[in-house]
Amino acid sequence: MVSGFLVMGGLGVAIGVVLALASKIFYVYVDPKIEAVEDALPGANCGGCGLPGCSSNAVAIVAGKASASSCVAGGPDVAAEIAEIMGVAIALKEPEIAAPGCTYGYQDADVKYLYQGIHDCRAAALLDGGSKICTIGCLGLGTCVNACPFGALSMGPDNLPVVDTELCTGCGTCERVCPKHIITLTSTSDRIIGEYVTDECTAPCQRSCPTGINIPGFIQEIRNNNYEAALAIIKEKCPLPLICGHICPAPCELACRRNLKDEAVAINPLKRFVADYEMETGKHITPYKAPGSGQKIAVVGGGAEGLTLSYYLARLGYNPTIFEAKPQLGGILRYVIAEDRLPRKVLDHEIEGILETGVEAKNNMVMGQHFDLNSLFQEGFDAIALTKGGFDSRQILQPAPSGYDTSVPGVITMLDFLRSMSDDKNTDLGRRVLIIHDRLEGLDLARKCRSIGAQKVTIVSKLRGHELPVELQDVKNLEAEGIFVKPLTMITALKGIARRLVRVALENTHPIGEVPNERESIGADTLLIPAGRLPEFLFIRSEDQSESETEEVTWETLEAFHTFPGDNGICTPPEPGRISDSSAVVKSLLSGRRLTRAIHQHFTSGLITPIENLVCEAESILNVTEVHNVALSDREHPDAMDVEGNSKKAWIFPNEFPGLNEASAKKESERCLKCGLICYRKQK
Amino acid sequence: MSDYILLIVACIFVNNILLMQYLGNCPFLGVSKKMETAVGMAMAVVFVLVMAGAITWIVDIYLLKAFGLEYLRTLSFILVIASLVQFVEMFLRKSIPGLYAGLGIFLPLITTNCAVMGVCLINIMEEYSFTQALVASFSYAVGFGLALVLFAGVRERIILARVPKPLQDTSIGLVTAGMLSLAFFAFKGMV
Amino acid sequence: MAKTAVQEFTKGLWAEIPPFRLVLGLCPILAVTKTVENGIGMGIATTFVLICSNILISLLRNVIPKKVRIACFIVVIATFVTVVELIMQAFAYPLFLKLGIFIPLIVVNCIVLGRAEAFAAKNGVVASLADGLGIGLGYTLSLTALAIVREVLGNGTFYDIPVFGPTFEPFSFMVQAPGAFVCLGLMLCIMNMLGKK
Repeated sequence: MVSGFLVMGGLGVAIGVVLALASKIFYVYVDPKIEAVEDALPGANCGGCGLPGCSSNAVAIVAGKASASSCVAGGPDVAAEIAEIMGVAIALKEPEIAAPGCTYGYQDADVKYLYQGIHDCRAAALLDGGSKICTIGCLGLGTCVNACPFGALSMGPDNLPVVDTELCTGCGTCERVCPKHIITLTSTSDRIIGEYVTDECTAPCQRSCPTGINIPGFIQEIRNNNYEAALAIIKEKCPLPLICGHICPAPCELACRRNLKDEAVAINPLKRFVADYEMETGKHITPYKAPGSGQKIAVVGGGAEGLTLSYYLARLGYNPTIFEAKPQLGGILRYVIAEDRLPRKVLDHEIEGILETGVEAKNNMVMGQHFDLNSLFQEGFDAIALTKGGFDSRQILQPAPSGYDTSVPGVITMLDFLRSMSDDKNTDLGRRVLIIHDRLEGLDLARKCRSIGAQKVTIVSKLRGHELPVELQDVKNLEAEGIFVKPLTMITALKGIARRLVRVALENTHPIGEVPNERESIGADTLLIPAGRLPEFLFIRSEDQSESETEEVTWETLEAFHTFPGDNGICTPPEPGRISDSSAVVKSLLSGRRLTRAIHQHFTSGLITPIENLVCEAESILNVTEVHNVALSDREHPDAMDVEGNSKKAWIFPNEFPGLNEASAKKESERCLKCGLICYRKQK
Repeated sequence: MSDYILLIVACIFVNNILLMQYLGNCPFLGVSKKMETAVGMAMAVVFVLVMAGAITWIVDIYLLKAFGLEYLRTLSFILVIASLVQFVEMFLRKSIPGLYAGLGIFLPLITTNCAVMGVCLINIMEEYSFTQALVASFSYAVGFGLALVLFAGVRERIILARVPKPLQDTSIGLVTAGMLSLAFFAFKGMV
Repeated sequence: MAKTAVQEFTKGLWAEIPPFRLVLGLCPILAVTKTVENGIGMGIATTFVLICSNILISLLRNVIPKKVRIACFIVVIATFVTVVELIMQAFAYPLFLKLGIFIPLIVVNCIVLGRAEAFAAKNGVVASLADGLGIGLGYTLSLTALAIVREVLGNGTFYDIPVFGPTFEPFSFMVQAPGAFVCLGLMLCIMNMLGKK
């Protein structure tokens, strides 16, 4: 009895001492946060977070590699607890749900061979990527359906997975098992800022639409009599469907696959039809608005681009404020385009809708006079976007005393500079001047700058040294003149304090395949850019306030489009491969939408990610050159009247261009072939 | 020498701890869904089982038997195993972080792995000498690892098969384990 | 309180019946179900440990520091297992011999530790008692059910009483290890089918 006590007691004490000693000897410093987070996690080691066990997830969370809400098993309570430990606000995230990205099951698509092996997509994909000719087609064997832990997926009659959006939790299991990466998690926010890439099913019309409206998608909804849903699809990419419906040049219709057979589907009139429908209801249909963090963003310029930017910012949960120099919003749409092409009531209706989404507008506010970067930052704006658009209304209305656009400190367009020179205005350029230029005129400009007081002028060019004009290659003599040339360089960012430009960030652009880009930052007072208007700029408050001695705000620019192909630093056109010349309203919508993407990514992940394989950059994409089994059908036209008021074909300009009526819209929607990369609706 | 070879064969194949002795089935079904985790678990078990086998043998002979306290065997063994696991975890974390990263998450699971406790008890019941106990522990652990890895390989394939809904997951896993066990049945009578 | 205790009790009999719903404690269920007698004996022993450890842990739940809780739980459980061992040695020695190693192994039966961690450490004594009783009874039922199938088919007997007469050729696969796995797998399948509705 006694010995029992002694032995057990002794054993217990011995083990206790050994363990206590061991915990001292083998002590490893562990961030107390990791332990706290690990305690908060359920400890089920289920692996649902994608990491092997709760402790590794805790490490990942503390290291910032996993989000506070990464534990699937724990749910929102655990997420809140972890967020508290980490001292971060959990970003209220819009729920993501799975969406299949293929619209033609294997019985409707062209196939290479008949597959009769193991009934699983992963097995089928091993045979030359699956039986379909389309390389990104759904194999339809239901691997995702079997994998779904919540029973939210089922196979539809056409052998495509159907998502029950009520049951889908966005766990992403289907996305992980799909060998073709067809079913993906998506949310309205993702679609708003998303761009089409080559390994994604897109219709020809959709690819050629500058802003990328899901055209087959909205026409399908018209077919289903779901006009509001159609409008919601359009508004994911285009916030001004009624305006576009009136004045868009409709490049989509040029790409329409029906052109191979008869005549393009009346895509733009169909868009206008649903937009007209909205206007007739007298309400504005505001689609899903994501919960957001409510950062204040100033949008300078209330034209199509600024309206688009603020609309999408509002839908992503930000608080945008438009600053417009003119008495009314609309820019070119209001002050340039003829009334009979775009009735002003249409414009007013659309602008009203945008303001209703939660956009504030301040008219008659001129940048450089009533406010500037410094004052906006001091008012508490977190970011400032410049969407000054196609024409400088500010210059026309109230010319600045300097004679040129001073809205970005230290940045002067070449046009303004030359004009002020010819007007003999006294322009103070400061000591250090940078000029972006590739040609001989750059040298003239540089000498001009030297002559009016600049001490050091640097010409920056993306070209290689030997591609520059010979005069610019004479480095030695130029340097003696105080002119420096930097070939293979672009300017990626500006940094300034209050109303002064201080530094510019340069990046060496080595040709593809060579050393990765090097970055440096040099002091500058003035930057001359080779353009007639300022590019789109995004300003944020700089984290590094060291160079500012007073309470003045240090700011810097974000490389909004830097990551897009056709990269030219701050002068990158928002539309890769094409210069955004504001030649069509829909192109301004694109740049507005891409600015939204830059701002949203900056505030959510801190990094504007490059997009690879952009569809409009692709040299070749899976496509068809002829269509079979498609019946001929006539394009529907709006009811238009000639002078006598009866013929449908010949009409002269009425006061207002008419839209399609419901019957013809329905008929027209049936003409859509609902194309994929190579699939389309064939007659059975 | 041949005794030891026989002992090794017997422990790995004939009396395979998982498939013939029914010990350690919880982790057997739990961590066999992926080859990666199965290998990690197998390694961790080999590691811990050899140490546990040695220490419990010493405790039993020099402490319990010496004082005539065999009835406290269960209590003291589990205590020893639990603290051993804890100790190993701390030791690895400090001294061999690479190994810890690989085995770390499996170690706490081993405390409640009845294979470990079971082998320690078998060692005592069979009245093995210290060397025999060491060899047997190692062989049993290897047998555990072998069965676990084989099973994980099979299970990775089963995912691809069209299994009727009610049979999915653990259910088909058990039936598969039965088949595997049938294969090991062939070793019966070898030793 | 009473009502919840009843609920805690009944959930162990169907909604969370081990090892079908909670896939834990598989080793004994495979090993000792060759005969009904073994199955019931094992079930009762486990139930006893479950109830006692649940009660004690629920009483001590506010005293035990969180960091060493698992070690404490194990010691509590091991104590009761030793008690069961001694009782069985005294009053049911033949059964004790048959169950052999699996009696001490109740210590590492995940169900016992699982309930301690998941339930008793968070709930009051009455609820823990009901929970232990329910889960234990459910476990006993499962063991018995599996044992009936295996003994009747594999041995042709029920509680050592022949059921098919002398001409019956026992389906000995069922009492061997492979049969245990397959049989449990199929029973799990049947449970899944019933549970789906």
